[in-house]
Amino acid sequence: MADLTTGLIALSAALAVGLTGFASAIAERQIGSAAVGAMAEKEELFGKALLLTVIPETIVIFGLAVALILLFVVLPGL
Amino acid sequence: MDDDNISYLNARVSAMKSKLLPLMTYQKMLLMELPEITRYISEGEYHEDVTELAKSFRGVDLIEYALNLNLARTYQKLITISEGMLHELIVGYMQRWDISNIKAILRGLQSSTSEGEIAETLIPVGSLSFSYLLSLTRKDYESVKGELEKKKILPAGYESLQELETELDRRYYQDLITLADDAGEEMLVSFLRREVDMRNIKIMLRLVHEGADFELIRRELLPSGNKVTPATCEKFKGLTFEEVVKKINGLYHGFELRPDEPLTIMEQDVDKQHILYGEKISHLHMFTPLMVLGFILRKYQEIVNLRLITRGKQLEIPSETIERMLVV
Repeated sequence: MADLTTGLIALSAALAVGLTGFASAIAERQIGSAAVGAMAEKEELFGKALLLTVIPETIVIFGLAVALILLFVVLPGL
Repeated sequence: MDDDNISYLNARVSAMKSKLLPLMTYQKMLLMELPEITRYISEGEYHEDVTELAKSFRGVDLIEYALNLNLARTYQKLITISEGMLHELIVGYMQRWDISNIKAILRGLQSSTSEGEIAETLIPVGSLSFSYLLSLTRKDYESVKGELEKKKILPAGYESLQELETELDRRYYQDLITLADDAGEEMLVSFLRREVDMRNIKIMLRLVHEGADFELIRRELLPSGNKVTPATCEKFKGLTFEEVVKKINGLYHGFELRPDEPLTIMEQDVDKQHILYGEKISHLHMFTPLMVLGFILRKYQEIVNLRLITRGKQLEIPSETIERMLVV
């Protein structure tokens, strides 16, 4: 049964990273295209636009944190 | 409308909107002399257009042509950067300038106005090229009417120009509202219906002021409106001009028309209310085509305002009068 638990934890870690990555991509698509649109008219918005575009990256970082906890804290404790 | 990249277009249009001149600038310009105004305009957002035309024109004419060129370029850019249904809606909305140009040409030709004077009233925006429009100004009324009917731009079978103009407007709004309805844009449909009301209100004011027959007023009104339509105009029947103005003031929030003011000022107040409404709902409904349409209206108004200031200063009209006529 230990193998099944390990497999499920690994799968959960993969899902945590994969799904949050997917969500980030959807959010960044919208924000990125809006940022490019704004910058096409006002180049000086580059700094703000870049910052806003990477904000959804936090979602995938949370996913990564969950995956790391699963793999390096939960799994070794079993 | 997700596939049409509305977030890209709205952000870009927002950035374009932020470059429009604020009220303060108009007030500053009204305090300037004409040469200062022309220099001020040629140094700002219109620099490129003024430089391009500087070889061919001078003074106020240069500014006027540069403003037109800038308007045409801005609208062309909106058409180029939009796609899908949004593109169709923008192109459809801009057909109003085709209609306005055709009306100007037909009216000018019918009243035997010179080519130059007709050309001055044309706005180089819309699907008909400016060179084609200019070529029409050199022909006579009947041949232009026949040519446009053959090209299906004008509906056939209308003898009176007034009826033809009403029919053009009726078809324009009917097609545009159907297009917006098919796109599932309820807010846009409501905005367009309100726009028809504004047009009908202006017609009602003008005709009642002139003491026109009620049946004529009914015929002139467009059917696609919300509150002022041929079907609902019965409530205005038999009323004096003052009573009509009072009734119109009660139709929409923010309307404070005064019957003692000149008709042109009242019509401008109606336009002002509509632009303000467009501005308000484009903020409330960010991810709809209203954002773009609100910008189209405001950009056109900026050009009209600048033209008013330069021409007004040239004709030495008092600044207070010019300021009253500005729509900001």
